[in-house]
Parts: sequence; structure tokens; C-alpha cells
Amino acid sequence: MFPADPDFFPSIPAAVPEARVWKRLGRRRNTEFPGGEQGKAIRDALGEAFSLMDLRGAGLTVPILSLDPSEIRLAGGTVFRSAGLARFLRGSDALLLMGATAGREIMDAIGKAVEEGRMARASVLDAAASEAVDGALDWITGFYRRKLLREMKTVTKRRFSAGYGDFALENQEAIHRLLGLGRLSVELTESFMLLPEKSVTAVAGILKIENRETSSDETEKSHS
Amino acid sequence: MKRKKAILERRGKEILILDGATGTELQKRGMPAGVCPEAWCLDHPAIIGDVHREYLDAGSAAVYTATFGANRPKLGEYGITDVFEVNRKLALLARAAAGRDGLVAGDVGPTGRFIEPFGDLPFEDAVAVFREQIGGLVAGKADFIVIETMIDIQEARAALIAARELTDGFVMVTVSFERDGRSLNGTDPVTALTTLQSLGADAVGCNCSAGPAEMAPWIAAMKRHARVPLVAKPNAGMPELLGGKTVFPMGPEAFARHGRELVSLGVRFIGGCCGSTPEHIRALAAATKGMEPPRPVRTAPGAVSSARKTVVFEDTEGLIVVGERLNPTGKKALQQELREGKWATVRTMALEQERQGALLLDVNAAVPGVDEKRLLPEMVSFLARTSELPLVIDSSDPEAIEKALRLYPGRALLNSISGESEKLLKILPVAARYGAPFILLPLEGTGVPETSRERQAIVRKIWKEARKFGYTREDLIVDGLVMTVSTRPRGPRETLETVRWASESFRCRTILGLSNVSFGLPERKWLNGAFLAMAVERGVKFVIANPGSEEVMALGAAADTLLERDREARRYVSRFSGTGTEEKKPGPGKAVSDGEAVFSAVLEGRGEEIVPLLKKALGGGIPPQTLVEQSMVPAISRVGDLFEKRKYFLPQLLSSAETMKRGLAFLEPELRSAEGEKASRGRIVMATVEGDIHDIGKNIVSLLLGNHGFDVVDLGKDVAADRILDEIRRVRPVLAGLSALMTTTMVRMGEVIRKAKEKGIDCPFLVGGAVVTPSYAESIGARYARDGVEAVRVAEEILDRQRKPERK
Repeated sequence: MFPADPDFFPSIPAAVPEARVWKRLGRRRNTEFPGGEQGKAIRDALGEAFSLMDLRGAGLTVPILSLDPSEIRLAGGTVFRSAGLARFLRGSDALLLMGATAGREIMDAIGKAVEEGRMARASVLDAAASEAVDGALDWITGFYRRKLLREMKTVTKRRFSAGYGDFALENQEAIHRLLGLGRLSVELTESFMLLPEKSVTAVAGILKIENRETSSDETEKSHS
Repeated sequence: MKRKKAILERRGKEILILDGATGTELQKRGMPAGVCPEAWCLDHPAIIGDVHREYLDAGSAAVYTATFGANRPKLGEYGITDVFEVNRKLALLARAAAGRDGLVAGDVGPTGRFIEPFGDLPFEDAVAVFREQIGGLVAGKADFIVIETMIDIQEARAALIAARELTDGFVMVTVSFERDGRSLNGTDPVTALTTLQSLGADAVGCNCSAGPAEMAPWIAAMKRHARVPLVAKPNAGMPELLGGKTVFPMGPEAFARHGRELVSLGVRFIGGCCGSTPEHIRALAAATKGMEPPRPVRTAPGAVSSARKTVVFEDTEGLIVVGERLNPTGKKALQQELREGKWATVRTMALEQERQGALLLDVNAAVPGVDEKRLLPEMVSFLARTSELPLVIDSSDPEAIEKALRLYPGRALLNSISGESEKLLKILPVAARYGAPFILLPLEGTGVPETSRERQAIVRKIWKEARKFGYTREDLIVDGLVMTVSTRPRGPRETLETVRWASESFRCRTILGLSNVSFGLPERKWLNGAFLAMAVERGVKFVIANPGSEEVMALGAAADTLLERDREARRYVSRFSGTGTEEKKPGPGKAVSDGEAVFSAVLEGRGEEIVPLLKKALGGGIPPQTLVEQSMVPAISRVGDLFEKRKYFLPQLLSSAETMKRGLAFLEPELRSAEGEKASRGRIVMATVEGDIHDIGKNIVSLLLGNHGFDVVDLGKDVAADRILDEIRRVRPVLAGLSALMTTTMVRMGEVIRKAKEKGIDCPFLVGGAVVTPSYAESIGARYARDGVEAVRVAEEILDRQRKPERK
């Protein structure tokens, strides 16, 4: 059964709200958006960023065979050694591996802008791409949450990434391999960085949803 | 399949209660995890029969067949290939359980694949997958078809088209929306409704992913636009962590209470999804008993949709501009790209028009030597992924039109249908099959009708035909037929009269292909603008034009305001009021000195203006050093202040920094000749450490340091410690700056500093990066800067400290 084939998402329609990009670039409530040519150039850069991105991704659910305090053994033989990840996965009987990329074209545009000294433009392209790949991971999480609901399972809201805490960046190699990220033209450098740069991987836990025993004197939960 | 009327008239005037979750009921009865539910049900027919009967006993008028995943891709995961038979048999099991009184809904779920244009499963393959499944359900005597839990509008469309091609029975479609009110692929409830009801769904709604409380606003939003009954099948709340377990929290009574609210908002068919049980359905049936089923509106408002957006004509104030540029006629470069299968120009044109204010995009694929039947669907597919704007399919080839309308994941507007009998009889049924509204072109093939009266007659003729296909006036837009004034001097008046007649007497919306009016004349923009203003006064709603034309957009906005089509002139004011920084702008009549102009240009990041302004200032006798010291440096310092106070954000800071850099580069020769050599405050070595390739932060800091008079030696990214130290030895900087993005590469900064100490290199270090903290910097013996502005301050502080001993 494992290693199983990952799901590939060749065109992720994740929506990235403009406000999130501006916030990443330091815009706060009292920051007036610039008018005139400057404002137009900034907005145009964002519009262009969205048009240059090619959001693609992959996902794979893998059963957890054993979960020790600092070691996670997965179906198919992969072992992750990390106390932080093990704590994060407590209660999960499977995990979701996911990866996403904004593609090469946006990185080329950022590189060109830096080369030309157009750092304002570069900063907007960069922030938009970062938000977009985050949005792509949200989308992949949403996809599996939706898919697993029928099996009375859900995906944790938080994610965990290689390079965070004691989950060594070297684990990116196994994640890259299991997700088949090469098929998305995402490469791994010798220092386990992903290329193109605006590419990310993450792990989420898969939790069971229990049957609720109903009673007549129940009280309604708030859903605000 | 039961006749449509029989479904709607079921149980007289009562709300039709659907069933609840099936999977959990099967699990309760012993279905193990990981098995194929459909195969397990076939092996345990009595158990699935029990589940159906329990729901019917609880009050469900209809039960869903246990065929949610009974499509070829899903069954294929379990090695099952006889898809038709699985569906037929499971439908027969439901039929047997439902008896004569119960209704059987043939259940169709998603394939788990993404479909063209958003995924790699070709659209026609998806239609074939659903045709196979629905064929089995129909053969198994399902009373109606329900397509459910759709997260991708294109998959819902594929299933609906398959159903419509197999049966004229009742078909219900429900989409799953996330908490933000959009499906995973970004479709909102009104857009889903607009697309699906026009494509032939008999009921539309939502299921799964949310509880009944979350569904209420979605149902309310759909109700205004629905000419079909609405459906809701919510979960028993949203999964929550309660007592260490993740559960669906809502019990039957609360569920039923919310169910009443959904009915009062407009739901006609209601049941439960994940987490619901027969008890939930029993409570729901009791709570909604006797409630009047709401009536759908008779005519849905005119609207078109993409996968992510709907433009409802009556809700859109003022003029709707249809972007005209995606038309290769007369555009050789675009033609060539399309011939070569390249899309860069199409993408640029689409996004530019969107930014410029177009609300719809006209798309035409008439390229000489290229098969339009192939190219038009390809363009439509590309644009569906690229732009949120609904498309206007511009073609007269019935086959190309059919392919494009079939593939487009929304409700496109068709441009156009004329009165030529042959084309009318071919294109009208195609448009109707896909529910496409159309532009009615009052032409008949015997030459252009010169007068408005002739055009009116053709409009009436086409309208008569269109009504036979179920069209309403909301679905058609009359083209006023714009003639060139240079060859037909009376033409514009006849067009305007046609617009007036269609708007006031015929009572439908109108459109003009604006720029035709001025063809062959100089300064066309004035003619176009004047004609537009006149047409707006006659009631025109749409123009096909270039939204990049300032005259069209501005005069359109002005005309809308003057004719009360822009309430409180809000759009007009928003279009023309600047929100930029007013700082340092002179008051009326106040002259700006050359120095102030340079200050303002840096402050506002007006890079294009800085060199001409500096030239003027130099020409006026201001020395270069004075310009730097009294205008540029104060301006960039002010920018730094504004950034720190969060009144500027990063792109503004950098625009100003770029302007400063450009200005300094221009002044450099002047400064050299004035001072003998370039003034530098000292060198700073900058590098992103080994293993890290993320260097935009370092580049920003380098730019700002450069602007403040430091000579930056930028070593780039992924730089080994030894190289950094060699460079420090070589250039003897006042400071070395290191950056890293990740926790794993951050430690390399400590290694560089440790090595420097071991080698006796006495150089202060400044560190920064997303995960770097002041305490980490302190722990490795470095200074810390949060951002570029702080980096400049730290560099100046270090420089100051290094110089103090010299002064003593």
C-alpha cells in the first residue's frame, strides 16, 4: 500500500487577499495607501505577481505506525525523529504531507527586479509569492479536510515544517521524495532547500472525529 | 425517473425532508474502516436497507443511494470496474427500502480528481465518468439525481451535463462551501447558483462542510437570485474538540431549530450531512412540519459568472465595460502568439483590462489559418484560470461556440446571435443548452438595417424564437449596432434611437461596440466619448471598449453620475480622489522651491521625476552637496520616521530608497568634482549565510545602507563563512551584516562570528532575518536590526562609536 501515490494539484486556485500581502509588507490600519504613480506601481506589481504565479502542489496521507516521544514511524518505512513533531502529532493516527510551489516565473521576476534595483517591486512580488504558497497549503489542507470528513476524520489546523524546532531540515529530503515534488519541477538543494525558492512543505495531523452520543437535554454550542 | 412535477408536488405543500449521514450509520452497524463502502453495502444489503428505512421512519421523504463514491476513479481504488452495475444494484436496494411512498435520490459524489481547466482530468472524460454512474442509477430506478458535496464548480457542471444528457428527470446539485463562504476552488453561493440553475439544475444548494448556522447567510444570498428551489443538507455543526475528542457538537434539537431558520430563509429540500443521525432528521421533520415551502422568484435577474465571480446586472450600478482587447483581429503579434500556442499577451491583456475596470472580458479567437473550434476553447480554458472576470464568447461559429460554452466553468455571455435564419436556428439551441445569455444583434444578412425601426423588427423576431427556448428579457442584451459616422452620418442617431427603444419600450438591456463610431476619423477618442455620454443618457448598460481608454472610463463615470446611475457619486469620487501623501505639497498659489521639489520626490518615491528635478535644481545654482544634505537626506530620514511609525509600509520605503539611489547616482559625478573623491561613510560587507538562498531582506538592507552613504560590498546568498571572513579582511569594513531566513540556517551566523573571533578578526556584526531575535543576536555576540531602517541606525551608531576615540 505504501509508499502510495501522492495527489497532484496542477493548478491551485487559492485566493490571496490583497490585504494579507500588504500586511506582510508592514501595512497597518493607520498606514495610508499611497496614491498617484507610486500607489499605482505598487498595485500593478501585485497584479503582476498574481499573474506570474503558477500555484501547484501535492499531498499525501500516510498512516502513522508508531508515535514515540521523539520518533514517528510511518507506513512505508519513513521515520521522522523530532520530539516537537511527535508532540504536535499526538492523537493523530495518520499525517498529511503537503508541498506547494509558486513556480519559477515569479522567482525570475523577483530576481530581475532585484538586479534592476527595483526593490519596491521585488518586495511586493516576494510578499505576494510567500502569501500565495501559504494560501496553497491552506487550500491543500482544506481539500483533505473535505475529503476526510466523510470518513469522520479531520486535519489539524496548525502545520509543522522541516526546519522548525528539532524537526531537522534534512527531513525535507523524505518529504520531497514521498510527495514526488520533482514532478512539480521543485528541486532540493544540497542544503535541503527547495527550489524555486517560493516552495514549501509541511506536515499536518489527521484526527478522528468521534460519534457524539446525543441526549434530549443537550445545550446548543455557540457557532459564532 | 419520476417526473419533475411529481418531486416538487410531493407531500403537497410540505418541505421535503432528505436523509442524514449514511457512513456513520454503517460504521455503527459494523462497517470497518478502510473498506469500500459501496462494495460493503452490496455485501450487506440488509444493513444498508435498515439505514434507509430508519431514515424513512424518522421522517425522510427521500433517501440517498449509498453511491457517493460509486464512480470509476473511486471504485478503481478498490479494483472495482463494474461501475454501472454497482450503481444499479445500490439504487435498487434503496428502491426496495423506500417502497412506494419513499423517494430514492441517486447519489453522485465527487471523483476526487480536478477537472480541466483547473485540473488534469479532461472535461469530456469527467462527463463520461458521471454518465456511467448516473446511467446505473437511472437503471436502478432512482426517482431523481442528486449531485452533492461538490468543491469544484467544474466537476458539478460535468456531472450536471452528464445527467441532463441522460435524463429529463429532476436533478439537484449541492456544493460544499468553506467557512469563508466559498467552495475550496473559490466559488461563492450566488455564483454556484447562477452557473448551475442556468445549466439546467432543478434545485441548487449546499451540503456538508458547515453546520446549519453557517449555511444561513449562504441560503439567504442565493434566495434573491434563485428561480429553482433551494437545498440545504448541513453537518451537525462544525467539528470541535470536546473533552479531548473531536466531535460534531450539535444535537438533534438545536439542529432542528436551525433547520426551521433555513426553511424560513428559502430552503425547500432539507436534510443532514456529516454527524447527523436519524434522531436529527426526526427532530428536523417535526420542527418543519407545516411550514410553507418558499416560492422561488419567477425570473432570475440577468447575470453572468466565472468560476469565482458573478456579475448581476441589476446590482451593478452604471455602465458595465466589456474589455475588447482579447480579439486578434488586426493584432499581428497576438495572432502570432496564438498560432504558436503562447499565452503571455493574452494573460497580460486580460489582467490589464481587469485592473483598468472591465467587468467582463470579450474573447475572440478568429485567427487566420487557425481552427477556431480548437483555439476558442483553449483561450476560454486559459482565461478561466487567469482571470476572475466572466467571459463574453465572441464567435459566429456554432461548433466553436458549443465547445467554449460547454467547457467554460461559469455562465458566459454569448456575442452574438443575429437574425440570419440559418445561424439563429443553429446557435440559439446551443446557447439555450448551456443557459448562456446572449447579445442580440439586429442583423439579418441582407445588409445592415439602416433605421431603428428595421432593427426593432429584427429584435422582435429573434426574441420570439428565444422565448421558445425559455429565455427571458433578463437573458438578452440588444446591440444598438454602431455604424461609422464618417460613412453613415445618420448612423449614430439610429443607434441611439435603438438603444432608447430597447431600454424604454422593449425593456431589456443594451450594448454598444463603441469605437466603431469613429472609425476612419482623427482624434477618435472625442467622438467615442461624446457618443458614449449620449448613449448613457438613452439607457445603454454595456459598452464593448478598451478599459485602458481614460476618456471612455472617465466620461462613462461622469455620465453615470449626471444621470443618477451612480448613487451619491460614490464611484465617481472614488475614481478621481487621490489618497496619496499630501505632505510637503504646496497650498494653492504657493511656489515650490527646487529643493522642496527634490525633497517631495524622494519622500513620495517618484523615481521617474528625480533626475529632471535635480537637473533643474543644479541649473538653478544649487550645489549638489546642498541638494543631498538639505533635501535628499532629510527626505529619506523622514521616510524612515514614517516607516517606523507605520505610516509608510515597505514598498513605500523602498520606492523612496530607489528614488534616493537614482538621485545619488546622477549626482555622483557632480559630487566627485566638487569634493575631489566620492564621500563614503565606510564599507559594510553584507551576506546571506551558507545554506540559505533567501536574500531579499539582505538586499533591502543593502539598498538603505547605500542610500545613507555607506559603501556596501554585497557578497550575495549562500555564502560560506571563510569567504565572508576573507572579504572582511580584505575590505576592512566598519560592520559586517549577516542574514538568514530559517532556524536551521540562522545558526550559521553564530559560526561565522565564532570563526571570526578564532581568527582574530575584530569586526562588529549585525544580524537579521525572519526568525532572528535580539536575544539570539546577543547570544552570538552580534547587534540586531528588525528591518532596514533599524539597520541604518545601528550602522550609524557603530560608526559613531568607532569614530569617537579618533576625536578624543
